[in-house]
Amino acid sequence: MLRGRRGSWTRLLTLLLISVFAHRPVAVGAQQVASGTEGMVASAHELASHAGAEILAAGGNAVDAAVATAFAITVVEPNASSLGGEGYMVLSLADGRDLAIDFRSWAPGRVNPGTETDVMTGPESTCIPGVVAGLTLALQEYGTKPLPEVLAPAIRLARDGFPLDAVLYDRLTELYGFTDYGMDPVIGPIYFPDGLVPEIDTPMVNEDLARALELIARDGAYAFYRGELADAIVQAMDGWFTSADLQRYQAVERNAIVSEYRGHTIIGTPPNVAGIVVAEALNILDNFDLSETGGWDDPEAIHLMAEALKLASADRNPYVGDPDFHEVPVAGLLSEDYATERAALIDPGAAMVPTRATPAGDPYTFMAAPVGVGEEAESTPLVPIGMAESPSTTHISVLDEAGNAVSITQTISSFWGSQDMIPGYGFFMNNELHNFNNYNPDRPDDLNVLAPYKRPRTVIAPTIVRNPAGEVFLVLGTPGAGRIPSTVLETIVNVIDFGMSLEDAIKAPKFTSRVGYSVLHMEGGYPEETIAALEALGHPVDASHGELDYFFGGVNAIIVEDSLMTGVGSFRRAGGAAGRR
Amino acid sequence: MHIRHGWILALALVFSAGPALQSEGGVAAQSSTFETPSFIASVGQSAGAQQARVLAMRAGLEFTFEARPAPEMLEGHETLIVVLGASTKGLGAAGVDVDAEMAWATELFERARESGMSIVAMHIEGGTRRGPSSDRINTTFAPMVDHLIVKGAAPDQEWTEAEEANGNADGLFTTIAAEHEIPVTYITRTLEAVGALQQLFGVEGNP
Repeated sequence: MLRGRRGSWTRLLTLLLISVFAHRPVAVGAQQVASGTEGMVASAHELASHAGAEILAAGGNAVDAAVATAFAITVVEPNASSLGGEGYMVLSLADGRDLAIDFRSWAPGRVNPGTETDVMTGPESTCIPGVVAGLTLALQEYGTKPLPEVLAPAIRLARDGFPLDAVLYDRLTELYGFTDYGMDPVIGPIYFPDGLVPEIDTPMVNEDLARALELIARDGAYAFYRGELADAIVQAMDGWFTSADLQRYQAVERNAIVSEYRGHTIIGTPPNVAGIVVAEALNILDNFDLSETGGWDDPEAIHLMAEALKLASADRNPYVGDPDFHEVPVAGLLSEDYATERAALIDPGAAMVPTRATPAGDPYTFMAAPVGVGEEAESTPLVPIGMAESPSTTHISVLDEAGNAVSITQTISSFWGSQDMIPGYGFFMNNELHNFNNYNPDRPDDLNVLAPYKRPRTVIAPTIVRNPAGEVFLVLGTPGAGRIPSTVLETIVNVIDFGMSLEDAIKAPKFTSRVGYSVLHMEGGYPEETIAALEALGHPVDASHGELDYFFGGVNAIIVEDSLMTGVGSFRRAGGAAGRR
Repeated sequence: MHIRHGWILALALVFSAGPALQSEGGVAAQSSTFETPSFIASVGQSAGAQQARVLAMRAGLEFTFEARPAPEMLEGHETLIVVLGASTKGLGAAGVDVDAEMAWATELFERARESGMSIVAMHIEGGTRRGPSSDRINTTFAPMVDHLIVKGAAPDQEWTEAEEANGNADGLFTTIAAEHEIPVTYITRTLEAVGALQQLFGVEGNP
């Protein structure tokens, strides 16, 4: 959405004031596209990016800045992530280590396979949150700054306020309808102080959230999982969570999944999110020369990518589940030989239709020690995925001067999560539970069946790409629910295969293809002849989407070219980048 | 609030009487020309209708609120207040599309007129409700009302709020008002609709 001139000036003034009063070295001002050489942050809100850049300017590393940004984004984009949410972080450190921090939410201890999962609001839609555990773990293990320092920008934004932008205004308008017209006694005073949706540019103050963040700054994760905040959460969840549930929660460090694409190294999230889908789809595409096609709007290129995404996503249902509950054939799914076998299923002249008939493969036969499961695996029956699937979630990309890169996607699932705000502490809880399946006797091998302390399977895919020289080249990710893998893949292909600038790669229209979608969704902006050619190949196309439609996500990314870091904030939302020159 | 000149409305609010409302078409409107009980409904199922409910409460109007009423529910009311603007989510939640919404709203308007009711339309969500679907509703139903309340720039007004908040940046409502001789009250902030409603309905009190 285009921003108002007056709004832009107000935001600029706010940024200047923040810079003046922050008592820190001044970072590069936040904007939608920013360049620098000493560090960069890209996120869904320029003030959150500025928070990270402020930490970089104070000598912090990428992890410090990423944690600062991740907390700040919960303040300025409260519809998409929250202390009550979850996420996944991928790190590529300057010392050569690639790793991931899993702070996905867990189902509460009281659930069983028959517990209703089709609940979208209220306590019973909620899983045990991981954001605070994950961010504090990352800071403790890989950061350099104390927690109070990296939380300071977020606390300041919550306490002093920030001007309401048009994107959040739209989201508040939705929330207004959910909250008995803004009269909710907890949410209303914070977001609807006059009983109305606030005017654009109204200072948005959340003293309650500032208090919660201060408690975390003082006591760390203890405050959230065992202290005052834990007590408030348990009370608000009305028996759905217990204190023991919260105390049990742990963020986990895992090996990142690492694959190769055209000589580049793709570093992504391990199961049970969608890094494995992005990696497998890119491996399949490595069997074709996309650079010989006409580029992003060439139907041949779109067809190959769409089919690769279908094949990769078809493997997700039978093989990807919570790795602490199920053995996942990661090595097989990442095998280049397996990808070659999968690529052979692509007919250049015809789409696989219907989409849900796309076959799953057998990755176990491509593993050194086959486990023997899945010899006759088929794509499991799918829960229908419709347009109601929320394009929520948020993404943060950070890179520092030393070459440390952090890619975080965090979420509360639907916009505004469960729509339950913790009284007195100003943050929303997630509604992740609906991402589980109930037990179905017709699908006894479903890996995504609800169980106590299990993580639901979702599609987030924070990603880092190193160039053939081994240097961090791209840091990227996106919100967008089921569109996340396709949008991440298309952005990577646009840059690597089609040689597009990062800005153009992100702006280019996107399509989404997935075994769960019955049609090929195409964003506005594709030529009519491209759509017609795809239909001629048999793709059922839905071209009703607008241009730069946030249905297709909102990539926040950084690229490094000749030592120049360029950060790009989402064009499909009101993203912003900030860095240091 | 801006009715040609903001100070005119200020005086009108102070004295709660006198001619104050004027359309771009030059049609003068008297204050207190609408009667209660009124009925507030949405055409397009946006959150604006719910805001109108809060505004009407603050204005002290006697009203019934139902976002998508059956036409017969208008029975016993003097004025229909419709809030214009399409919300994809709102329509989806109601289980209808824009075509169905417009067909229903046409019946609602017909019943209101058959019952001798006056109709006021509010467009109070600015540019957010100026997309293609919203404008189908705006251009169809705004010409059919007796008074418009529009959050947007009046013809002679320099807009000082965020551009997204201006529901009349292209002069759509000014044009409709002129072509159909409909008085229009322009407001710059949603809360100003309280005063506008009080003036239209002759209700005294602090806006």
